[in-house]
Amino acid sequence: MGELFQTGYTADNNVQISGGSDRTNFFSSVGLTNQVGIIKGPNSKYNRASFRLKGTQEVGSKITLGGNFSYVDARGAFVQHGNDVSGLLIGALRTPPAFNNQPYLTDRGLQRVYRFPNPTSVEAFNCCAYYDNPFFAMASNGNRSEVGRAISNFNVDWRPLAWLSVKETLGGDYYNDSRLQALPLTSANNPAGSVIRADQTNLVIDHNLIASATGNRGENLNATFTVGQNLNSRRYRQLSSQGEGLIGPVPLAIENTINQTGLEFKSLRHIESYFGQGELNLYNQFYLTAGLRNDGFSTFGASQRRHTFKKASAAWTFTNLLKGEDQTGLLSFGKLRAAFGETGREPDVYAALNALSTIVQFGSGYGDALRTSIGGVPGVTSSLRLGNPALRPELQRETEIGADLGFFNQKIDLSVVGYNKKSTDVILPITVNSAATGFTSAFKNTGSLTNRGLEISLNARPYTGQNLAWELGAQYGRNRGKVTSLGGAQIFDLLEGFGANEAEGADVIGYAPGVIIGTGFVRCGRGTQIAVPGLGAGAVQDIDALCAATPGGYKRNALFLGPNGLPVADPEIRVIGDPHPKYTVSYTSSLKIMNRLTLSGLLDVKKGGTQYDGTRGALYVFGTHKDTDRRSGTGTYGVDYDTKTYPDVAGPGKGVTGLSTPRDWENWLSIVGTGGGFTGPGEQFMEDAGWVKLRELSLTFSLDQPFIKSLTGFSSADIRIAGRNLKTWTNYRGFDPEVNNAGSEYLTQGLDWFANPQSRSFVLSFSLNR
Amino acid sequence: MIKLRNLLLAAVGLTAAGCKSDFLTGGDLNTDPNRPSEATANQLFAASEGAIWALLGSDPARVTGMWAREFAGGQNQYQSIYNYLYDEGIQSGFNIGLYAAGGLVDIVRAETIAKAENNFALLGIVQVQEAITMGTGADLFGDLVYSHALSNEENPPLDNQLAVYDSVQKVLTAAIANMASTAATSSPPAGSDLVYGGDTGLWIALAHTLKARFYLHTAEVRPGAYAQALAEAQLGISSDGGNYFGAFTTSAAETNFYYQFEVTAGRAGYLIPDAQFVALLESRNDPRRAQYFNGGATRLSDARLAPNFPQPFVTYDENTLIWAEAAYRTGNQATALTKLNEERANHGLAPEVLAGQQLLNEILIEKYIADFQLGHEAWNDYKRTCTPNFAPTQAGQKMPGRMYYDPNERFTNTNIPPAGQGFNGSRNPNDPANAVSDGTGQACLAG
Repeated sequence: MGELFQTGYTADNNVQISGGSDRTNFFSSVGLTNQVGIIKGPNSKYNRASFRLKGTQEVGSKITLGGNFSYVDARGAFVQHGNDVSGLLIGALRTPPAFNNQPYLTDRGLQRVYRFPNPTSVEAFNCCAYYDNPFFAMASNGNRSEVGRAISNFNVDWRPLAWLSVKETLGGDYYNDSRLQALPLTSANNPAGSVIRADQTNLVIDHNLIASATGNRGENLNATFTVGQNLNSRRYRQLSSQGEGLIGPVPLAIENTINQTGLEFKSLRHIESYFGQGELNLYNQFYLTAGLRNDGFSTFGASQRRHTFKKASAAWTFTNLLKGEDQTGLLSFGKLRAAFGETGREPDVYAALNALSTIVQFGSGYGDALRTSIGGVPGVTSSLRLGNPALRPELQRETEIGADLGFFNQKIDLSVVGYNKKSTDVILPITVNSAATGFTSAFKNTGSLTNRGLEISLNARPYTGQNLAWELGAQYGRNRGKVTSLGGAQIFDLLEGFGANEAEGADVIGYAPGVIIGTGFVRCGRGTQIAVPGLGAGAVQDIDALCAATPGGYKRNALFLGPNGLPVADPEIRVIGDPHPKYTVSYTSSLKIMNRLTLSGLLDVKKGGTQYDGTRGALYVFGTHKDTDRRSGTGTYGVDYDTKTYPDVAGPGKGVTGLSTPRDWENWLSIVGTGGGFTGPGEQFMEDAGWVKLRELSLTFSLDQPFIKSLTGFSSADIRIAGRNLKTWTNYRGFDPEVNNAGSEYLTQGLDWFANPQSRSFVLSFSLNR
Repeated sequence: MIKLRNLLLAAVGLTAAGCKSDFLTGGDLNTDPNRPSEATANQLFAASEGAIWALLGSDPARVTGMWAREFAGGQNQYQSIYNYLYDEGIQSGFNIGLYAAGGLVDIVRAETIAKAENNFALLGIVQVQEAITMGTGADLFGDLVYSHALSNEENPPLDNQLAVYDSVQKVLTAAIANMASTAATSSPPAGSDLVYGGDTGLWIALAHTLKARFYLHTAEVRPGAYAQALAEAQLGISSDGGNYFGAFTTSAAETNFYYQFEVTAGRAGYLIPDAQFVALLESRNDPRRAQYFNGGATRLSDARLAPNFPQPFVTYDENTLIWAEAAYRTGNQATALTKLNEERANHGLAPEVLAGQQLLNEILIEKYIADFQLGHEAWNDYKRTCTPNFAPTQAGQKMPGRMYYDPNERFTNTNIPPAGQGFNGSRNPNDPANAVSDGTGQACLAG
């Protein structure tokens, strides 16, 4: 690992200038970030330049104009990772210890991998499966991204009357994301090489007009009434070109490929909303609001275009009633609040429309495929998905009740909030009968789920003095999600993962959304009937009866062992893990000394949740995991092998040592057995993924003495030293329990397959203020 | 004081100023800019051709080829399938493919456009596509939703397999009549038709051969079918130039399925020649031994594995042998012998002189050889005649007679029982009982 990873560094420089007069204000900043990543070599870096200008100007006595413009340019080079045979870790971790991956090129310039140490030609790599040499992956400059983004808005604030204000904001957000994803010749993913160039542009224009009227009757009644209009337009376009087969080894560009396929996707969506809200403040204690919103979406069919949503809230600062507004005493502040709100979510763009397709292909799951336009003749078919013009919005209703309390003259404040969110009419792609419709699926409003939770936040300031101030905090959160309907189905496979035989993300009735399904081993107490190797020559056995016959009885859910002492794979797919935590807590502490020095820390805790350690499972098969370093020693399920996952065993194999000779181990863990990650059930590799992380420790010096000014010309300076992700305490056996192969786009968490862990970093920053 | 009147005026003013009733409609908002919303009948016809070539040339054909023991399964899943171990996934999505994109939904759409334009030639040709699709579907799955297809009803009922064949025959008859039309509005899809170039004469001959083929598929339970097949074969494909084939090219995703399976998808070794078929060809010194397989009989021949090999699906040889068998079965052995020798001459084989059961057996063996890679015909003929009487690949078991329905169709249609039950078993209820003989008095070993 030392050969692959290094300590990366980031240099982040920022200059901000702001100023103005009594009628004009401006703010500008310029920033430059240069980052060299943690993977060695020239292809792990990220640079960003940003510029921002903001200003406001009062015109007359009633109008203020404002404008805001910022531009960011970010460029990065990356090394492929994760579930990728051309990625960094798969090749690195699967290499047998006796093979040196350096040099990574033969003297003829071809890649050298442990499966072909002496390749003869590029074409020779076509024959078989292999994994890229990690140094070869690191040397590839084929993964780059350039993003330019401009965000701007213009606003007008007009107060025509003392009680009426009108505000208009018109904003635009444009970005262009250019990407290169290329594989050089001899890459494991595609030995002939490939180049994908994709450009995405996105333009969002938003107009928001709000009018607010306030009024009061005496001191005890204050009211505000707001109406507004929002128009939003989102235009997205992606243009990509995929080149197959590199001609020369460099450059990694489309012109250097044999065959090119171009693809374009465009979409345009509009939202038109009108909203009104009233707020009432009574006796300085009661605060009531109610609002109504009518949203129109272009993504719905004509009959479902507009929908109305409501919201209301009430809050009572009861301590104001009891003792007026001074915040002193044992219970120095108390507020109760409740809120209710509805929102609607629109479907994927063009889900309500029916259209034809030019990209359907005919073939089987083995990879043979025939396109619709053959021999230069155009061919068009129906799409596979039926458009649904009757789609309604996904409705989410949330009720929230909370209390904010302060104790001991506000030395301690406590906030407790409980919420209950119900989502109904969730839009899911549902299988439809092809014989009856001519399509395979359609989006329908058929799902429903709930999320209930509790959030508690506690802050304490045990000591606040001239020279010393200490603040502590804790934030606790707990969420319980539950899927209550999936349109008649029990499971909705999210298809994010490694196949439903190993581990895959899914929504399952009765569980939180995004649990992990897979197969496991046969257990006692489930009524399973299945053939057991070594019993009855392949006849189906009654597992529960065999468990009951175990001397000493059996615990429900005990692992069933066949006569050879080994468990039996159960083909039925079931929920094998839930990555959601039981709760999360964050602890913060901050100590300020002499008003100059601040020491603070953050500790994150995640309790509960299981994760699929697919990396370990795969490395068992390759024999490169530490666990497979067994030259002697036996393994007995229930006694000394995998007892953390399977503490209880039963059946004819209880007490039988299933794994004694090295051949036993090899047969069990490799591709011919079911103890490894490729052919064995995924349940074995589900691990407790709770963790405690020392997320940050930082020390800041603030200097504003006169010598700073005479030395530097700036009136004050701050120096900050911080460390992030300093230490992790966890039972998880992989690199990091906080990884997720599916990234942030998908609903599924808890899948680890050769994912890169989070990085630990140290930050030193200087800021000079004038 | 809240000046209510002023407030209301302001609110109305705002909404009036901002109200744009067409902000949510128009252009790219409600029309997908990425997919076409209209297609011509020629474009739909062209895509449906590809769907048919897949139905006859992709995985289902490889599977039925193994079951008919012309291929064997050499590795992994194919080894299991060859040994009669399979599940609902074996149809590889082709049950749904009969109806969805490229299948019935688009064929009916093309027929509707052709009818509206009074383009009888095109209508007839697309009707032939409908017949191939649904007829082959009945061969593979037995009972099928047909008369209630595309009706959008919940749980559409299935038509009995024989009723499906009857409907297919009606469609072919209508197709032939349409294609023969001399109306001025008739315009065959010359540019889009890579097989026949829009020649309605060749399409009509194809339609007759298909009628003969599907009559044969009902002959086990309908004695009159042989006479009907004879009548149709006499009007069927009359030379190799009239063969219906897949017009594959050398471009990616346009190549022959067998080439893709072996080379592009990297499944070399999965589908290998079956030893008993190779032995049969060699014992008869048949020149097709070298045409079908390579020297060592480890894979298909180089010619057949070319990316653009024009895979035949309905041929002149098949038509000649249907004629021969149907003539024999209706009592005309002289014609049967002539036709047999005509087919043999087409492959450089010397004419034979045979009579009686020997003649029939020879016709059926010759057909078995000619049926190689011809869609599912070797399997269909074996189910009907049990010739050649090969041994099953698993002792004591019978060759599967059908594929299970797609599980998604089963989940969404309560009329379809679970795999292995009712009419969703491993044989069609319309097929006669297992203990059929091979015509020479011997019990059928695998059928």
